[in-house]
Amino acid sequence: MNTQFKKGVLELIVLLSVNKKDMYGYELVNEVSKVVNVNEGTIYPLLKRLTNEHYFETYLEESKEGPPRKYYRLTESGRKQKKLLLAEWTTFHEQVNAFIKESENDE
Amino acid sequence: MMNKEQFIAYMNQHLAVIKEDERKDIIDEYINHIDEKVSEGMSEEEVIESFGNIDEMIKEILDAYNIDPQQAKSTASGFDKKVNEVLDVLFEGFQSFLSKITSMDVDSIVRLMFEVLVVLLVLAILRIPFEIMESIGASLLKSLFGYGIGSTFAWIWHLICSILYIVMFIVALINVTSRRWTHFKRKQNTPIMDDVKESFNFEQAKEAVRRFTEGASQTAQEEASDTDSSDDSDEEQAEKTTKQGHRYSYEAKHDYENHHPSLLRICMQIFGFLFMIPFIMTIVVLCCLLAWLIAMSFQGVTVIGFYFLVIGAIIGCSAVISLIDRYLCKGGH
Repeated sequence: MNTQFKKGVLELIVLLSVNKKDMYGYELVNEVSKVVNVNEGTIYPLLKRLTNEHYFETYLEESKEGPPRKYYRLTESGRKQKKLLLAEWTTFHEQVNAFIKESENDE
Repeated sequence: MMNKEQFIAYMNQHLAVIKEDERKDIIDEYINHIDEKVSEGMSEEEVIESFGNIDEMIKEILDAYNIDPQQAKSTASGFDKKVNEVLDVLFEGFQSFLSKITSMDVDSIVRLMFEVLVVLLVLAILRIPFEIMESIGASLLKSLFGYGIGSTFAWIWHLICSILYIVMFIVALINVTSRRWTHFKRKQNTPIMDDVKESFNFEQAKEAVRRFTEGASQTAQEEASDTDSSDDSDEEQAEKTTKQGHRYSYEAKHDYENHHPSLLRICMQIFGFLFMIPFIMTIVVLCCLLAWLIAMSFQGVTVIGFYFLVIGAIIGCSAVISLIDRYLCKGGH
């Protein structure tokens, strides 16, 4: 799949995933990989950016298996951003689909 | 093919521009990822392979901090990094100051320069009573205590007077500048943006203005949305947004210069640059001195006192630059 496509939608998927429940990095990467086939290394920079932009806040929690894990939680502005992106995506998706239908009818 | 150790070393080297705790934070995420995958039965090399292009990844991490990867490339680790950080801060302050000066309209620059000159003149005249006070005090001390101890006291007296004068000088300068600045802003209600807009006709330049306003509104928006979050994150965000603002304003200014090279403007730019020279020179000299002191301390000479003085002076100097910059910043937006 086109990497530019993926990049745009990745942020939305990450925001939606964390909105469901707080997640730690590796868990989030696995969750996202289920939806889009993406280089796993590229998700962490995105998490960092979203944290720097205050869409996420982080906290540490002990784990049974190893060192404490860093969990990501959606902030209020993160929720706003999620809504915004979701709305953008929905209109974009509808417009593109409508256009595809239209061009199919022409053929 | 890289193993975990090599990967960590590579990341550390290429992310050297990022603050240590932040760098550790992001690298820890990758280490955790590798450990989890290894516990699921993959080898370290395979996991790192699955990250894809590592340089691309590093670029994205730097991007998350608004750092230009090209700039980051030249930075090394350890002591060099510290020096680079200091220089970066200084350079950034200087650059944004310059961009603020050059993005003002010609008229206001002339007026500002004139006012600064007047203030400097007044302060130079104020030096006279200080001079008189100094020499009277010194001769009094000499006649009271005799030549031996008297001259020592006189020297101390000179020092006190000089420090007093410098403190007064700085306080007065800052005071006058800030007062003049607010006054100046009230008198001139038309924002600089309008002037800029008026002076362009080119389509491309309009694009630059659009970008500039977008940048400014984005900055304002982010700042507004940020007021409800916690204090220290506020600070961080503010820092980031001003950086972003600078970036935008710098871009816009750059485009502006390309399309509108009037002679008077260039003169003003040169004048603004000349105005900054004493500050830059001071910093350069202080940096050289610092380097020399460090070299001295390697040779075993204890110069800790001087060391702190020089560092203090560097910080003071950059504070002055950023202070001037902040006043100009207020006027700019």
